[in-house]
Amino acid sequence: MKRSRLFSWFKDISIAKKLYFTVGVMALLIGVELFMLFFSIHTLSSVRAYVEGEGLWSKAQKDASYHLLRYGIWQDEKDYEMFKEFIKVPLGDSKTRQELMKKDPDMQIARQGFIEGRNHPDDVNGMIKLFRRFNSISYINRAIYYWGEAEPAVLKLIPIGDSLHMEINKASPSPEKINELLQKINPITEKVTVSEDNFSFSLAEGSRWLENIILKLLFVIAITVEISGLLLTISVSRSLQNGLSEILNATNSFAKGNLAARAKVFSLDEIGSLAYSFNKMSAKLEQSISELEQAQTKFKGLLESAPDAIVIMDKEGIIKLVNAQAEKLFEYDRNDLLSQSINLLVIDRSKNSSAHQGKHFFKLSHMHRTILNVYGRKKNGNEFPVEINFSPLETEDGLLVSVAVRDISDRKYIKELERKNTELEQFVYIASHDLQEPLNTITSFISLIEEEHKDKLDKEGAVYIDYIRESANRMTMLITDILDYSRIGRKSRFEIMDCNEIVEQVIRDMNATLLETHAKITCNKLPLIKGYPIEIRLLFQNLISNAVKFQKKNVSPVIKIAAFEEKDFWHFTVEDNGIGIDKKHKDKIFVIFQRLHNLRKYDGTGIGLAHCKKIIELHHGQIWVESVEHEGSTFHFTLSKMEENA
Amino acid sequence: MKKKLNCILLIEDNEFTNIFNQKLIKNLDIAEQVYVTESGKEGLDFLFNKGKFESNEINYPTPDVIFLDINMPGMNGWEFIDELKEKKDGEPISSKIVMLTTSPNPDDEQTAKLIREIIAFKRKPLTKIVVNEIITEHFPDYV
Repeated sequence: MKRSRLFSWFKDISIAKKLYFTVGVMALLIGVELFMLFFSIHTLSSVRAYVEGEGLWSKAQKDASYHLLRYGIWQDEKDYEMFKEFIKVPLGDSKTRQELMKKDPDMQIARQGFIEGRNHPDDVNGMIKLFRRFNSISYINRAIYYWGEAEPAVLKLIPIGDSLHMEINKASPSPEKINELLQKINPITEKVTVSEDNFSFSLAEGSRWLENIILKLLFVIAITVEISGLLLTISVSRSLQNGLSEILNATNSFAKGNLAARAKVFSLDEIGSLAYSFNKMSAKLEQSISELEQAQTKFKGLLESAPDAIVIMDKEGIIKLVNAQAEKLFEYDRNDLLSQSINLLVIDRSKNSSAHQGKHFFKLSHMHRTILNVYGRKKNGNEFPVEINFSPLETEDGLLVSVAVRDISDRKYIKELERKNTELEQFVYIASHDLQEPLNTITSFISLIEEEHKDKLDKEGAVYIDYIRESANRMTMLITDILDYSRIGRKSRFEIMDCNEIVEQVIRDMNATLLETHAKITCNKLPLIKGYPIEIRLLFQNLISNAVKFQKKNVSPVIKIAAFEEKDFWHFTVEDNGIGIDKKHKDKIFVIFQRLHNLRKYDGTGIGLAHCKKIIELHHGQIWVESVEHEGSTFHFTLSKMEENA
Repeated sequence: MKKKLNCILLIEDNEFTNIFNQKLIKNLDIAEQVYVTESGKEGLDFLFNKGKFESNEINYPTPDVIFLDINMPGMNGWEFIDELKEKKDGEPISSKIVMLTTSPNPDDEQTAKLIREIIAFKRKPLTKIVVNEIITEHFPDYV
């Protein structure tokens, strides 16, 4: 856990810091190594000093023994002096050893002792340190032990020397005594030599051990320095490499079009922040690109959902884009249109030359104008009138022009139809007026003749006059009917009305006829509808009066009116028990002035059902009849629930 | 005994209709005088003593009723009324007008209702019943 925290900390520091850190660790390790080297050299040098010291010590002991022997033999005081001089060396060393063995040694005394032991003053400090530092190490400990063992033996020489000096300086020195004293010297030397050897061995062993240890240590440290340096370098370079290759991969992937490509952020260092910045940039780019794509999709959607055929062209009139409606309108495949000239599809008849129509259209587009007298041309060469609308379109590919093309053949046709209709209405109005005037004259003068010249007419003449009058009246009725028929739906307002009220009113108006014929009318509850009130009233009136009129002799009319609700419309029925209609006349009865019966039997002009049909068509409904001859008829009609224009 | 109307003016382009209407009114014996004009222009001339009605000897009376045809060549009934009003220049028109038409158009009937001088809108041919109705309704003190 701690390691990983350290690891992650290292991961996240800056690259410069990483490098400083790596170099720092290596410098530290090298420092340690140097220190170790220095320490070991120092220690080995101290060992060397001890070896030297031991040499001095042993030489001094041997010289002291030799001079003591000489003194005993030659009794020269000079030798005694020499003895004393040489014995100082082991004495000095002893002083140091004893001092250093104490818990709180006096370094002054210890140093003094070694100097007296003829050791080089530069070596003294190292020797003291080695003694104190390593006396727990077995080799040093043993060496010190052998040193300590040799010391009392050597020091025994001093009393021997003193006794010898006293004996010799006596008035009468005893040669036996002297000899006896001298006899003691050699065993000491022999004994000390053993200890000296042991000391030397131990020290040598210790120094070898130390050498060994130091070599190993140095080796280990060197290896550590190398490995840690290597590891750090690898780790730093790998983390750099990982981060960089991640960014590189992400960049390549992004460049290849994978907009979702992102670099993994491994650390918070410069590479990490580079990756982070790259991610931020690519996210922004992705967003912009997706916004762009969305805008493009939107544009395409708009283009395709437009009700008009849309062709997008450039300045030269070259087609760049078309929508499905354009394909359909011109009956081309879109691939056949792209890169073609607009001239292929649109011709401006007001221009003589067709050569530069593209540019001509482009110029027009700046005026946001709808131009007239333009024709579209289908693949099969058929031309049709179009209305064309230009609007300039700023795009990154430069200025384009969107050309909306609308087929107006229908509109032209409808306009033509409307014009014809108006003309026809006018014609009907004028014609009926002009027809009526002579009729009026006829009826007027017939009435004058009847009034003023009745007595001059014989019976036959009176009947003829009657025929003329009747025919004229009938003609007047026919003309009036035509006029009424042509006026259905004109100037009338679409409104909500209650069918129950309308039927009631119609029945009230027909009261006299109904009483006379003993007609019985039943009416279910009828709905509220939207329509032209005058016309709807006329519809019911015609149907009811027909039901009453076309009745079997001596049978009272029974009429049932009902309405049923359907999904989008109301379905009305008017049922009677009348004479019925032959199947083959089912459609004929709705045609104007079509009569099925003799005037003497059933009068009328034959316009009633034609009115009904026109009224129903005005309301976008349907009217039909179901009938069984001699049993009765049921007239059905439907009225839309929708608003006008439904 | 109630008195007759002083003057009735007919404005109608159809000669036969004029003959018939004149005859009908005369037969009813409701007016002292019945004058016939054959166009709107002539009707105006009659009212203002111009054209063929310009005379120093005869003083043409102001008609009590004008029977006015709508559909006439040149100046139709409506144009006649407009022109008349213009000529009167705000002065009230003392004649009452009965519009006569061959083919009753609902639009015309609506227009007629908006003009104060028009007392009736009738369909041709004119009949005794219609004339009598008009007299009883609008001239109760006469005939």
